[in-house]
Amino acid sequence: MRAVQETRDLLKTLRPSLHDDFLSVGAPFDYDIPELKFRLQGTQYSIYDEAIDAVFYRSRRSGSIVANNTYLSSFAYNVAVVWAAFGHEYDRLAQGEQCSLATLLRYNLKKFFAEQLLVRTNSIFARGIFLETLLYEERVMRPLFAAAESHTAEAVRHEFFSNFMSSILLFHEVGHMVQDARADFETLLLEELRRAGGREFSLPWKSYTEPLQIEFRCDTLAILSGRRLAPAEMPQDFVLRVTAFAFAVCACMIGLEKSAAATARKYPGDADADLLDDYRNILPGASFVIGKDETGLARAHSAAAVCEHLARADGDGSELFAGSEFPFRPEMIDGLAAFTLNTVDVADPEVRGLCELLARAFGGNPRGMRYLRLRSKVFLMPEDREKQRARFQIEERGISTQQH
Amino acid sequence: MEILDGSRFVFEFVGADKKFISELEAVFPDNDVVVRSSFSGAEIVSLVISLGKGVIGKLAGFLIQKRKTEAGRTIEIKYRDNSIKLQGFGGDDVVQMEAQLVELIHEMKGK
Repeated sequence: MRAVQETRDLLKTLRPSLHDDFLSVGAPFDYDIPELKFRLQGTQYSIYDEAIDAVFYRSRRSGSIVANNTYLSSFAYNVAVVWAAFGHEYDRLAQGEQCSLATLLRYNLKKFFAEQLLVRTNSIFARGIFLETLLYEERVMRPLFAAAESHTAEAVRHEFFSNFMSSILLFHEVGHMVQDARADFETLLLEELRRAGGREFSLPWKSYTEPLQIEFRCDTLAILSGRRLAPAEMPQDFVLRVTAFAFAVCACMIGLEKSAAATARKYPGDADADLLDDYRNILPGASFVIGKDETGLARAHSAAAVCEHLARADGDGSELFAGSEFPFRPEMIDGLAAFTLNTVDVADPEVRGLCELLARAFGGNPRGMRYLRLRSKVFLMPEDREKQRARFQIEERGISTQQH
Repeated sequence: MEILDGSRFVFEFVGADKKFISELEAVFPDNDVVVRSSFSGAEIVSLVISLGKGVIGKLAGFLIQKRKTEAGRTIEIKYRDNSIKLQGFGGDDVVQMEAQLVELIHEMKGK
């Protein structure tokens, strides 16, 4: 008990922005990965923290600590829910047509960017685009979550998305432990890939530097471990497409996070005009930096190649990306990343203008903005889910009208 | 030095490799050293330490020795819900760096 309290105190020291309400009770974990002859033990927590910097800690005194950040997994989960419903519209999105997929993705990606910006700066622009998502766009997500509540099959899949997205991030970090403990990590992965895919796998990451190759290896471990979590009745090709998609989303997430950091550095908001002195001017700080994370994209392509290889155990692998349920093809990785570049652009000048006025009015009221950010989500506590998980989940469902 | 009162601080080092980590652990055998990694690939090392007599000087000496150039030094100091990031600091002698760190700690503790 004392050890658990120590790890909790340590986590709070390392993550000073973490509020007590968003740190779960610690639970011991014991992961056995027999294929890799590896066993990992430690303490895990669920946290909700918009700082997306870390999920795995190796402490000399307290051992391994997992901080399963549901902020990350809930974003990926929401995008997966969107894709499950409207992924079939991808070709329209790629051609720049307005469609449900474009609307829903834009909302989620813009909100993530806005939140990452608000973590770093309280500029009028950051507040403005956050309010835009909250007041004008979040309602488009509600029917998707409502469908999950009324259709059992949908609920099962949504539950799977939620668990799966968390697990991919977690198993990636477990991979770092394996990497540290086993000099033959890559050899073990190759053996496992040959066994699971029924043939040799050509590693797509050998041209990268060693630190980056480690990330690719950890991704591969996450894929191999994560797919075992799928319910037995869930088709493997569906699970593998979800997996490839998860890595594409993570690449977008990393790109947006870095873009928000670059925007905050370049346009910190300190010089934003005073509310009354300069109210006629256009939205200050409306310039922003946005880009793609090329390494993240390379990792997503590698993940897709691993998924295709694993699909070969049941055939030649070519039909994996032809599946119509949760459609996903490797070229969509770059298509999604390209789409992120336009998500913050002004779609409706009148809406942006109104949000600018509100953003100005929120000047000097950071608690008010935090209140809106928290109320823009639904927090599900352990008692709402299966209690043995000892963690909470978070889903974004617009402004909550219920207390959880 | 009333500020060195046992308050728990975190000193984070960006760009630390395994050699740096083991050297840090050797210099501070009684303190916790935590390595944290994230999906994006960033790995950061934290020294969790209760401030006391000699600690700041020891840390300054370590940094001067292991991070030879001022430009190569990047650390972040965390105390409760405050944090300050420093890039390229410390000059070229221990006393100068120690003075800078103490000043920052004063600032973070609001004294």
